[in-house]
Parts: sequence; structure tokens; C-alpha cells
Amino acid sequence: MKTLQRGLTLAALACLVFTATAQEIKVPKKPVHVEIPVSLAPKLKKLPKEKLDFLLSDKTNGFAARPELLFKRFETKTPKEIEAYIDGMMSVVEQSKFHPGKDEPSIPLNTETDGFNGWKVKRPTAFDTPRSPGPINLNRYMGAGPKLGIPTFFNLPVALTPEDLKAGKVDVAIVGAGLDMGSGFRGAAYGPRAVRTGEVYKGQGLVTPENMHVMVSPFNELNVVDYGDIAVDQLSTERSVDHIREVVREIAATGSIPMIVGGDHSLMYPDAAGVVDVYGKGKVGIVHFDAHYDAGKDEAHLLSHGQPVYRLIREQLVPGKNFIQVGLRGYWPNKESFEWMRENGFRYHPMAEVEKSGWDAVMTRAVTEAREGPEYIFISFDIDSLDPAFMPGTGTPEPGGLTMREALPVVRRLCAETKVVGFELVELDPLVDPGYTTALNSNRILRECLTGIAMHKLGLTQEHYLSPLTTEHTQGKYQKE
Amino acid sequence: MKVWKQGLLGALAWALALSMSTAAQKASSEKASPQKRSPQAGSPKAAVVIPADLTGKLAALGEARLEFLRSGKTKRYVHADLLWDSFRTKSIAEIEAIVDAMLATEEQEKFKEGRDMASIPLNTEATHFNGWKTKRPQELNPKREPGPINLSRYMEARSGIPTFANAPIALTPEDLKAGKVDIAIVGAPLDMGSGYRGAKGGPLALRAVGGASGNDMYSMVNPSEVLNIVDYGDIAIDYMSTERSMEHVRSMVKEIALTGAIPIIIGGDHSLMYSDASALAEVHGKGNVGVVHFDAHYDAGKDRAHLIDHGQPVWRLIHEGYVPGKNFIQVGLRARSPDVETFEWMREQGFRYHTMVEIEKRGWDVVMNRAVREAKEGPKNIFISFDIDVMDPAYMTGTGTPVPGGLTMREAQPIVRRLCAETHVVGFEIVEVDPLVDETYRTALNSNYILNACMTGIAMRRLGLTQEHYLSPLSSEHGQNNY
Repeated sequence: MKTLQRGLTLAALACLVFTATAQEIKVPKKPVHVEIPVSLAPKLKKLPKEKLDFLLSDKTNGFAARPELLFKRFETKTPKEIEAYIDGMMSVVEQSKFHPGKDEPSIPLNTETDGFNGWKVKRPTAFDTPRSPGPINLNRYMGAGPKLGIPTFFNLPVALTPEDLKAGKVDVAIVGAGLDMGSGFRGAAYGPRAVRTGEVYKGQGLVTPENMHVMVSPFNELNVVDYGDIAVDQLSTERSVDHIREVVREIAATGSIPMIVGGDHSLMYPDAAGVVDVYGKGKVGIVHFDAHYDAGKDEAHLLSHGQPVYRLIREQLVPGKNFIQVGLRGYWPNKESFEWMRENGFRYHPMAEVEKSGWDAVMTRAVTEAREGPEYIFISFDIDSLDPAFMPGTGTPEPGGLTMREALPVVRRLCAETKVVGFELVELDPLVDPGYTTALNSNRILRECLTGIAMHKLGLTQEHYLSPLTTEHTQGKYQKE
Repeated sequence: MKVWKQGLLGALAWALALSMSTAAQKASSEKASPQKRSPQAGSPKAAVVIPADLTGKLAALGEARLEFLRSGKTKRYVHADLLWDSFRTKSIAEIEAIVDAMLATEEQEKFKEGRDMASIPLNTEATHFNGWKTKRPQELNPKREPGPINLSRYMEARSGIPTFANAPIALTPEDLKAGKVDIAIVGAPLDMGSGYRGAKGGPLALRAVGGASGNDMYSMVNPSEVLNIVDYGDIAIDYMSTERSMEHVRSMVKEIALTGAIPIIIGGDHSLMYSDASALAEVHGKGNVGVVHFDAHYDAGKDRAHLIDHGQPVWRLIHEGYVPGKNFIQVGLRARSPDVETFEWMREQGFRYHTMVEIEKRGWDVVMNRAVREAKEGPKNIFISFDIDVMDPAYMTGTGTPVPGGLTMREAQPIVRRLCAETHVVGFEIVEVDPLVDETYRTALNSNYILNACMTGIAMRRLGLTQEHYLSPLSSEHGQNNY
């Protein structure tokens, strides 16, 4: 992993951010026990040693899930055909590697262009009419209806600089980050736009009715602003992340809670890192809602929407034991990676646990764990943790996920019962959202966390608080079984 | 810092290759290096003159600021006249602050060593660094003789495994040779170029929807009956890097062309024009391939931090000496760019552009005849790059950067058929089909009809039907009486 370390160090150095000293991550290296079936042994007698060694190694993993399955294929082959087959596998392994001289170790950029950093250069204030710092209200009318005016997150005022946040005593700054290079269906670059322009539930601005479950209105209790979007190099996740981290850090440093609307899940890396820069390495716990574990590694690209968890661990920003994962399902990760997660102290809650113990038990367990964890909590909400019935507009939908009636309470509870210092909602892709469903539900998830943060501010932090007014009509005795 | 150095060395080697190819081009033609001659779109050519009534007031700014004002670089912030107007009412301190802000912006936008990454680092330790493009060894498959593989269970290939034009598939150059293949249609699912992304679904969409195979009523020629056509599968792409993908796409297109088959590439975004056309130039010789480029956009952008995207392939082909500017015929331009300076640059390079403005002035038939005639005069080998956004969004909704006011199907089909019949086409690409924003099947269907129009043309050429705008006497006239 030396190259990786150097590459990262370079990135950190070049951008004057924090240098990452590589930490050895425990990867279980189990001795490989491959036994050649007796019936096959005579056919392999004349096989050169290096080919036999290859056959006995774990390098055949990519060709057959278990060695037995590979040997079964050999049963009908002649010794010559078997050797050709092994040659084929060995050449694939060889070709897959990096070859200095033949392969580019990095992607060249045009450093001669005047616009090299054009994508992230900010507009100088000298170009604008002078104004005092503070949130800017864009509403022409008192009643800012959901269909009226310049679209902002929840029809909220806009802030552009850290000075605006400070002057406005802003509690939560919602910011867009339109990054969608991570694979899957692309289009998450338009996620922030979808949340801002969704007519339904966009909100009435500063005066907004209460959330019925708890009878608290976030916008009445908190100063919330739309902090605009963070610039992204649409052709490079790697080039984008330092700037994103910088803006998230800039928000957190003012004392506001950054709430990032993505964009793909590569964002978890700069978003959590930006928060960690302010609150300290190892001091932030991440509650990670997702169908996927996102701790992939050993890929040619150092960051994609499947690797942020690994990179946070690797750069010692968030240790494995600070991760609580909810909603994992599907065909990934494999057994070894689950074991690796256990060894690193992950507290994972896949849908398998939900199937076994029921949602209420799992929710209570996860929230309890978050309360025990580090003081500061960052919530990373990948909308594909929900079932595609609720979130069709996402890049890598996975059936069998959470329902909105499961997601809303856990998000509200986490934001009320723990000290949340950052929240991100990622992978909203309006291009594959045939109705308004995904934008609507994403909007509600964000509002639910804002409600929780407002409850926290009001001191409503007891376990699973619900409004006595709305949970009971009191016109008669509750009908018990 | 070894990796960093390697990255730098890589970039240097690349830059060297660029300058060498430029030098070669310089030697072979009178034209100077395009890099030196071509201004960036939007950057001014001529200096700006400070109005006489302001020179006294602005003298206090100092020479460095005045030089910047005269350079014309302020044009990207505000129109010069408006800038002077605002300076007339502002104090010198205010003016100084504005000019300094512009200068600071210019400075920040540039690359700065130590602060900015000069290249994007990759994890060269990754076990599967090249996994995305490593091919499956034939030894891992059951034995078979080389040649196209027919996947249809029934004689009429109406159901079953979706392939381009319902054609049989081929996987290797040996298959193409054994099957005497005339046309190999291959997908290249690349969609990092900006705009709405999703063009990587283009090959899937065209395979899934009909319209690519069958008889062409205009010529009464059925390409499938005349030519051996195959689906050559897809070309592997590194979804996180256009740059890393280009070389592999180029090698695959070359592999097809070297067997004598005509590669038809289904994109994927327009970055592909670079890999596709350069592959053909490598096979037929640099400068020996003309490109007929259908597009709403000129795609010759440059001087960007990223060396390739879907807006720069034309420039890169010119710059690397694969296709000189005079070998480009462009049809359908109408987007916001290029600007005056860039149009002038295109003229200087010898481009033959046919904008929608020319069509508004002369009418389609005149422009079509002119473009086809130019292609016949040009280099012997023609590559057609068909960006579907040349069409009006009414016909092609599903594309990343739609621009209203484009061609109709009744204009596009004849010119594609004619080019493929009347010139020696050595390659064809359809790019920017994005099924994610294709609310109906319309974009995929129309794209398949464009594909069919070209294959029909190639079949017509095979049959000797190469006269100007041939139409079938049978289908163009009922013959029951005099017209």
C-alpha cells in the first residue's frame, strides 16, 4: 500500500490539507487450504510448479467461488486443456496488474490552461453591491408558497459566506454538492436541484407547521439557510473532494451544522472529513444508512461512491469502531469483508438482522449504540437504504429495503437523542425518478432530521419522544387487548 | 514522492508526444501549431483600447493593471463598454478594487505548483488496476470455430437476446475474418463528458429497441441481405476516467478496422470521436481520413484542465495530427458556442462548417448537396461522427445537451444514406444517446433508423448505386400515369 500512501500524501500536501499517515488496516489473511481431488491428481502430475502453486493459491478466487467448482470444470478436460486453462487464468491476473511504463500511474491534466481551477474559483465580493453579512431572504412575498419564487431548500433564506452564517446565528446550513462520477445510473449531480425545486413539501419558508409526530417545527426553532452549492470538478471526484471538505469545514467551524445534499456517496469522505477537521480525529461517530457497505478498497481509483468508509478509516479520520451501519443487503460485501468489519469494530445492522429481530429492536439498538459512542455524530444517509418503492430515483437501487415509516423515526430519533454535527443525504438521482416520489421522500428525510435537531435544542431528548397530543385523542380509554 | 514524479513524468511524456506530433504536422504543412494559432473560445484576439476620456483618470492604476485592462481579458466579466461606463462614475479606489479582484480571479484559476494536483493519482498497487479492460481468455470458454455466432433460436430473429440490428455476434478479430464481416457494430458505454449523464446506457437502448434492421424503402435495399453485419459487443470503459478509456477504445476500433470490417461505434458520449477517428487515422494514415461531423456543437474546445471530454475531441484530433482542420465537414451547428474568434479560427484551419444559420439562409437541399459534394472531393476515406443532438430535441429527447432548432429525421436520413453510398465510408459513430432522459423509446428508435440509413448506404455502394441522390424508381413513383 505504499503507492496509495504516497498518492494520498501527495494529495494532502498539494492541497495544504491534513497529511494522512497510513494506518495498517487489519485484513484477515487466512492460510489457503486448497486440496486437489484424488481423481484429478494424475492429470496434474506434469504441471510445472508455478502453475500448480497458482492453482493452490487464492488467486483463482475471481474465476470460481470455491476451488471445488474449478476442479469440477477440469474433470472432463485433458491435461493439456487444463494447463491452457491455468495459463488463461494466470494471464488475466498478470494483465490486471499495473505495469510501469505501459500503464499511466496517474491521469494527466492540462496544467497549462488558464482555467485550471476555474471550476472552484469564488466570485470576489468586489464585483457585488456591498451588503452587511447575514442570510439573504429571496422571497418577494410574505407567504412563500412551495410553488413561488426562486427555488431554495425549503424556501429558506440564502447564505453565501461564513460571515453570513455567523451574523445570522445559523444553526443548520443546507448545501448542495452535485457530484455524480461514482458509478451506477448517473444523475445524482441534479439531486440538489430536485430537492430545491420539488413543489411538494418544499415548504413555506420561515413559518412552517409542526411535524405531527412531535409537534415541533424545525424552521420555527432553528435558523436554517440554503448555503448554495459546492463547486465540483464534474470530471474528477478526486479533484473535487478537497474543495468539498474545505467548504464543509468552513460551515462547521462557524458552529453551524452542515447538511449536505448530494451528489453520490463519494461525498461521505470529504463531508465527514470536513466535520472531523473541526471536532477532532476519532471524535466523530458515523451512523451510516445504506444498502451497501461502501468500504471497498484495492481499486484503481482511490475514491468512488463505494470506497469512502475505507478512506476515512485509512486516513485515521474515523476508526472502524465509530461506524454504525444500517440497512445493508444484497450481494455485497462478502464473508471476508464482514469478518474484516467485525475485527475493525463496526456495528453493522444488515436487513438480515431486521428480518430476524424486527425493526423496533434494531432501531433501539442502533440509537443506543450512537448514544454510547463518541460525543459527536455524523449521519450519512444513502437513500438506497430505503426500498426502491420509496426511492426509485437512485443509482444503485436494492430491493428489500427500509420503509419510510421505519426511516423517519430512526432519523428523527438520532437527530434528537444524539449530538448531530453533520448530516448528508446522497444518491438522489432525479433522472431516474419517474414521479416525484424520490424527491418527496428525500425532502422528508431532511425535514425529519431538522425536526430532531430542533427537538434537541428544545431539550426533547428522551427515548423515542412522541407528542402526547397527537398520539392520543383522550375521548375515551385506549382500547387494549 | 515517486508516484508523484511518475505522474509528472507521464504528463511530461504526454506533452512531449503532443508537441512532437505538432512538430510533425508543422513540417508536413504550412500551418503553424494549432495551439499557438487558436485562441480559446471566448478569449479575445485584439487588445482593447481604453477610451480617451478615461485615460487620465485610470493612469493612477499603474501599468500592471492598465495592461490587464488593455488585454481584453475583462471581456469574460463584463462587456468592455459597460465596464468603461461604470468606471466613469466610480472613484479610483473602487476601480482599483474591481481590477484587483479580476486579477486575483485570473491568478486563482491558474495551476499553481504545490497547491494544485498536476495529475489525478491512481492506486497502482490495486490488484485489478487493469481489471476493467482485461479480456477473457478463449481457453476459459468451450471450444468453438471462429466466426459470427447467431443467437436467435428462430429463423426470424424477433425475440431472444437483444443485439444491434438483430445481428449475430462476434467477439474476436478472428470471428470477423472468418465471417468475412463487412460491418461490426460495437458499443462504447462512456459517459463522463458533462451534460445529463446516462449515455453509457446508449448501446443497451439501441439493442433493446427495433428499427436498425430491415429494408430501406427509399432505395429498396436491405442492408442485412447485402452485407455481413455483426454485433461486436461492447468495449470496456473505465467509468471513472475518459482519459484511461481512450487508448483501449482506440485499440478496439483499430482491431476491427484492420480486419477490413467497417466499425460502427454506438456511444457513449462524444469524447469517443477522438478515440474512434484516431484509430481509423492510424489504420489508413494520418491526414487520410475526412470527418463528417453532425452536431449542434463544434466540439473543438481546448485549454481546459481535463485533456479530453465530450467537447474537445475535434481539437485533440487536429492537435495530434490525426485529422487536419481542412478534413472536417461540420453540419448542424447552432449552440451558444463557438464565438466570433473561434469561427475565424475554424475558417483559418480550413473547416467546412454548415451551421443551421446556413440552412436558414439557403434551405436544406442546397446545404446537403454542398456537404456531400465536399465529402466526395475530400480525402478518400470518410468517417462519420453523428452526435444525435444535431437533431431537434423533438426527435432526440434522450441526450445530454439538447439544443432546439435542429434537423428533422426527413433531413438526417437522406444525408446519412447519401454519404454512406456516395463516399468511401470507413467508420461511423452514433453518440450521446442517453436513455435515462428518453421518456419514450423515441430517441433509441430514431438513432436506430440513422444507423440503418448508414448501413443501407454502405450496401448501396456495394451494389454500385453511387449516383447522386439515388432513390428507387419503384418506390418513388406509382407509375399508373405520367407524373
